[in-house]
Amino acid sequence: MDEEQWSMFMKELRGPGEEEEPELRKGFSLDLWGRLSESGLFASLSDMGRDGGAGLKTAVRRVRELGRTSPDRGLTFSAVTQLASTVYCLRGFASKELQERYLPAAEAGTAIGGHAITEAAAGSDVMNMATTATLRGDTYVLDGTKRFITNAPVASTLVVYAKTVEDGEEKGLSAFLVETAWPGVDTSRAMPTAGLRSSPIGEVLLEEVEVPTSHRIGYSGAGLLILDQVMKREILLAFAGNIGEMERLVQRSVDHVNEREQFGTSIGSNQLVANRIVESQIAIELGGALIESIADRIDGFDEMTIPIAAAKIFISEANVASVLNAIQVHGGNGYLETSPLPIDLMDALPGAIYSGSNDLLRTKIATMLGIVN
Amino acid sequence: MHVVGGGSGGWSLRSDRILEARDEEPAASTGPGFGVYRALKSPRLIGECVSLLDRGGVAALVPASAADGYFDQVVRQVAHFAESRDTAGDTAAGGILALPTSGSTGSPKLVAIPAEGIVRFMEWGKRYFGFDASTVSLSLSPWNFDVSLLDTWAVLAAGGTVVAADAARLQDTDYLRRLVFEHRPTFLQTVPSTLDALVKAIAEDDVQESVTGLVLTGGVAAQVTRGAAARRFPSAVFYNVYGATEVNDCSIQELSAREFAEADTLPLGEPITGCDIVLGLPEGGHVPVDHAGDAEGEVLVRTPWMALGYLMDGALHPLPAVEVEGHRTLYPMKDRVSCTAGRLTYLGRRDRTVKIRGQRIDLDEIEQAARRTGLAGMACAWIGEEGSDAELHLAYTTAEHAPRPASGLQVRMQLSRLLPSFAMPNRLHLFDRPFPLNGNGKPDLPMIKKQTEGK
Amino acid sequence: MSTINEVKDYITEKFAKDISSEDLPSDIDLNATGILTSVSTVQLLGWCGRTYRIPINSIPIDPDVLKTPEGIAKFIDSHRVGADK
Repeated sequence: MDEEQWSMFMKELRGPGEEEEPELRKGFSLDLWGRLSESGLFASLSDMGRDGGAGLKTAVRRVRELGRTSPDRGLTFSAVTQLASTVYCLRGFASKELQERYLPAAEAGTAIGGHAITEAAAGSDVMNMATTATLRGDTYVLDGTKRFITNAPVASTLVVYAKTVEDGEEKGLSAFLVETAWPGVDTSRAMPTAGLRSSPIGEVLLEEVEVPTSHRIGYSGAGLLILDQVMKREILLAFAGNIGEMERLVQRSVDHVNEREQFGTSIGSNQLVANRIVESQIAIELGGALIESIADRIDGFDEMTIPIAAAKIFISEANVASVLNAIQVHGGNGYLETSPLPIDLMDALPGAIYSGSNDLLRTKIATMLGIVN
Repeated sequence: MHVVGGGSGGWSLRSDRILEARDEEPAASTGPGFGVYRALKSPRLIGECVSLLDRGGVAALVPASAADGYFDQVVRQVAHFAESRDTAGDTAAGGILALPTSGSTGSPKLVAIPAEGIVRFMEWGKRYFGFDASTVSLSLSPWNFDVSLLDTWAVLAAGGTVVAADAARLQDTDYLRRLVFEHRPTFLQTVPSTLDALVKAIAEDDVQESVTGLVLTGGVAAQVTRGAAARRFPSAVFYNVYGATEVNDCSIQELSAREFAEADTLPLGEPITGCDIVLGLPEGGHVPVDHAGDAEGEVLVRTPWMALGYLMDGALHPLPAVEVEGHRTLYPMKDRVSCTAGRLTYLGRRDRTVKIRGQRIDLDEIEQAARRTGLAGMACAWIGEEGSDAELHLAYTTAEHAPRPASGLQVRMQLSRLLPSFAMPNRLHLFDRPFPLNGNGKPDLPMIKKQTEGK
Repeated sequence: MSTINEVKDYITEKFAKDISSEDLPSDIDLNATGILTSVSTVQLLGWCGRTYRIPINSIPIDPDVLKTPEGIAKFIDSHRVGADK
């Protein structure tokens, strides 16, 4: 694995000054994506093999570093989606043929991917999805509409999760590798989110899309099992990125409170001001340690549902708190349009919503603890 | 051809008075004492059904476009049922017309309508609407819908003419227009979707004076559509009719063109002669509609042409029934209505359809299935926990006369033959004593849930 | 205790308390009888992974295999760490 390439890219990213940041984040930058791809990030899982291990931990480390180094949270988010939805999913569950065909471009970053799960009536209630994949001969015909699909507007491939219908019977969910250029696939409708604006997100319309059976990932009806595993990795990576982002903010805040003076001294001398940064660092320690622990155990045999849910809840909420603290610490300057902090806030907010709503995850933990409702 | 009803005399239905019909053999599967037909509008179809009913047999009508798998399932069921009737000597009781109804549990569910009831219904239709040899009825709905008993069977029995519109072509406005202008119908029965199609097919100023009676049934039609219809059929008297496949029609409201066009919602009207309509009050108790004053409640009905029950798994199963003192067994319509001076207005549906893991299931049907296994006396179903991790619970009491309580395993095995996997209860709770009851004499669900959690 | 008995113990304890482990037939269709749903199959798989040290996230899994207690036991026995492949 090429650590050198990665280090070089990190060095590059440390380049642009503070003033340039907000511009970077207004829309998806193909150029930036290209440079990220060349760094080898998307090939981080390549020594995952069939036994898990080092590849995922490398990816986690790199995504955290990306969050710490890059001012562009949307880019990190899209990158995590590429890794979890497509690279991990193909490596973990797809046939050799499918891997040979699609992994090279996915790992080179030249083909952008995402996964189409959510629908208007199926967010947390994923089983309520209405998109169907009906088997006709040796082709599945996919019909339905997905929304809030990260990367969809720029994706070449999508892993689509749909209700499998074979011989008139519903067989549960299955996962399908779909190329967005195929007839019947429409990814033109981008959704105007309030934050993460440099991460393209949109609707996916599937109208009588013909998918050969070779493109079904895993067995028929195995979609929920695959999704469960994929989402665990997505959470691990996404919230590792969040930790990195929090670390970036702490660094920036430390610099600021040392420079800014009021009442004849640096504002960092004020215990309460310093404490805001300390709180963020405490959360980084806790969240970071949990992420490391999960990365160590996730390919093993431990029950991971509670630690993963706990990490997600804790880090997403700490992420928002840390931005609020940073704004507080930066005072009026943190409230300007030219400051990256308000954008960071809008970028941090959806963490409590995507990959499982925090409210429902808390309920899930309660259920797993055996608390009767 | 005759339809002989016990004691009511014979009726002849002349197939030469069916116009625009498809001149094909109805796709069918027949055997001793039964016939299952795809309901394409061919004149021979009615004839075959009638002669089968005459002989005391079972005639089942299946949607013309039904999947082969569905058709075959119906054939198996009807054949089995016909054989058991024959063995039991039930054919003397008269023929049975079986029409499909929707069930959410996967396998075909047919409503079994006795020939005797059909005869009474046709008599009512003729009297009420004045059907005679000059009547021209445009039959818009498929013949596997019970509404055809009025717009086709009753009209033919009275010597009238039926224009058999191809239900699959109603969106073809040229076709529909031609039927109307060429045949100049005097009677139209519509459901909201066919009323819509009619209004689309006929231009605003192309009035049809020939129509003297227009019935709307089977749901709520938008006011805009009703207004458009009233303008196109200026000589018509309008009727809103309320019913269900299980009971056919039970109430009717006659309306002027103005009322039909302008009312926000059409009243369901008053009970049809011979029909008994009772309101089940929310606080408990029942009151017949003609004594109700101002009230709101659930509709329970009995009609002279009520179905005998459902044909499922090859056997006849009784309709859900409610016993109210002073009345013969009533059928719960699962609708809520308000009543003023004997006149009913529709308020909304009352059913227990829920979604679990993305699939719709009907809790009432699951409870019925549990009882049908013969292993449960009373059964109560509910969904526990929200969202994707929802579970379907079933509490049940031991069946009467059972030597010992049925085990959860037995119940699950038997139920799995009646229900698709997504509708199967996940948690079973055996009650070794009768269910606690609420004020209405119905199982007290909250109490039952509490008691099962306590275990 | 044999694998299949452990499987039956787990299933009846977790999903069907109304059935005793000994009474659960080895070939009962767990989906058709509502004992295992698509969602609870995920839970079952997690248990298999933890209890028998099976790397469930990196082997292809055919849900049909998990339909009966004997199918589950076979799956476990053929994938558990230390199994002869």
